[in-house]
Amino acid sequence: MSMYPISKTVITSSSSSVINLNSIPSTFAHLQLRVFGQTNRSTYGIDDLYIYLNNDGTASYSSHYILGSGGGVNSGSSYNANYITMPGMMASSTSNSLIFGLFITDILDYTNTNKNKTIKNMGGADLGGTSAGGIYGYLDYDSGCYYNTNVVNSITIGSASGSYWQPGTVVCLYGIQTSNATGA
Amino acid sequence: MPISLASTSASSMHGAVVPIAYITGNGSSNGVTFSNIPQIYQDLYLVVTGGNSNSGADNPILVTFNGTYPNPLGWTYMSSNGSSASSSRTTSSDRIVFNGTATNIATSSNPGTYIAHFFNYANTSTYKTILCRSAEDANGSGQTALTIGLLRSTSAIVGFNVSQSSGNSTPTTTTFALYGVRTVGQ
Repeated sequence: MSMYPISKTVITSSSSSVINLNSIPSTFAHLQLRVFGQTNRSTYGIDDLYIYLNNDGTASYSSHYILGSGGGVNSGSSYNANYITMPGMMASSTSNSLIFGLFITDILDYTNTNKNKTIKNMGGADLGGTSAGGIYGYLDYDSGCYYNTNVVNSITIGSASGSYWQPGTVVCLYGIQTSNATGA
Repeated sequence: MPISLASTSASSMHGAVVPIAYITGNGSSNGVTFSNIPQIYQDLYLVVTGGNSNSGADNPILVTFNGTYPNPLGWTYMSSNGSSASSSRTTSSDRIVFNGTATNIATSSNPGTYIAHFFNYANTSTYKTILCRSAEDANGSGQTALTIGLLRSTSAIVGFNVSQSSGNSTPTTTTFALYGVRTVGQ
């Protein structure tokens, strides 16, 4: 298995609540998205995110998550949703403008036209012991399904609160190749 | 914020994951240290497979940075042992503990595994956030965990130390592999 960089995007201005990766090459077996970021959500030190594919924000998604707050764990799910939810996934500038969150998204077999698409996300942020809106940090591990067999050619990541991505946010997309001989 | 990727193609690109160093445990309670880490990658990626040198002791992995023990470091984790899940947090520590391994089951023949991601480690504008996924299973017991750590420093990470939680020696069977993750233009 080999991983190859496809793109790197650095957010330079606070002007949008969504990041949209378009025209993704169809030459890999899997995709991995690695995001180091921050939004400007007010009051709360953590922001929830969402993700959808192929610019399709219709009721075509379901998801499950486990969320750790540092004080406990809870789990939730959604179905017939317009996107996959990523609760507690991102730091906001409200707590400390120097604290950034991160997450890793894996989209497997994204060019296969015989399967719906499954996504796994993991990440979060720790606010260093400082509360913002009663939140000290979160960890999220979630998965979701996009009920569509089309090739994935775009990824949209948004702030569920509608907050803007902050300068310094880095979005890196990778393609993972496989071997026809081994399938590894 | 639309970003078109149409001009990219796999044929002109190089692999993203670059091996930097591979170390085996030295039997010392001081653990192992990575220093002079190249500052040319987007992220770092540490893979640890190892056991515990002392029965009865827990063995999370501890990380200190840049040859110092900066205070405060902090982390939040959540873990599951097969029957229950929990989450906790530590602040103002001189280390980050990659929680999650169960007591005395990560042996040399049945190791625990840790995969830690140090995002944007070379930047000097933000604090550093580290994500670690850890797991082990011992045929009847085990644990899996996710830890997010915060290094409250804008300095680039140029080195770090990994050792056992209780001050026990790092077994010689434990392995540490450090990788750089390149992105476009690196």
